[in-house]
Amino acid sequence: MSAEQETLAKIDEQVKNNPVVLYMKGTPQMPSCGFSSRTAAALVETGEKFAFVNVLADPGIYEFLPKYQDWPTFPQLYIDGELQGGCDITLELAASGELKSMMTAANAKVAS
Amino acid sequence: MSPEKIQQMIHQALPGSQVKMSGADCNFAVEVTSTDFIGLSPLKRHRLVNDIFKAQFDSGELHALSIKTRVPEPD
Repeated sequence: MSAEQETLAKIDEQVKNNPVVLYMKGTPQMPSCGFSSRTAAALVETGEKFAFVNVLADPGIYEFLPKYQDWPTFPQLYIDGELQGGCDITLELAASGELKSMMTAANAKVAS
Repeated sequence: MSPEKIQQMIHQALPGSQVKMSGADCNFAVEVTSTDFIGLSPLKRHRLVNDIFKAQFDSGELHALSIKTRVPEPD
């Protein structure tokens, strides 16, 4: 397997094994970019559980994540295995209240 | 990329669209109003706009594009 295939397989596993996963620059506690910071804050605000991957700590993921779902920028939010979008869409979903209910539903699926 | 260039590329790809721009350097925010968005999910709307700049994202010329999408209000 090439480095690209290996990394894409790793991402696929993370996305499928975590009901909610955020790929971001930095961490929710120490975000390295305004977009990642606002997106992580919206997720924390819901009070729901989520996983995150710091793309700056993994050069392979940083390089190949944009190819995974053909989405060119960070952050990227996946809920229940599906790409939701980046910062703008996450904030829209948070404002409408959908974000929390989507996260609750995805987390409940795993718990049951 | 210049704001003018970004605006021009959006107009070209989505004829009849309205584009409001803010930001500078490689971080821009655009608000695009287009009939092409009607019936599309937020993800698909953003993809339409992102796809216009695929080459610029790939080359690193553009790092981030904050996108707001709207459909025109009916007359």
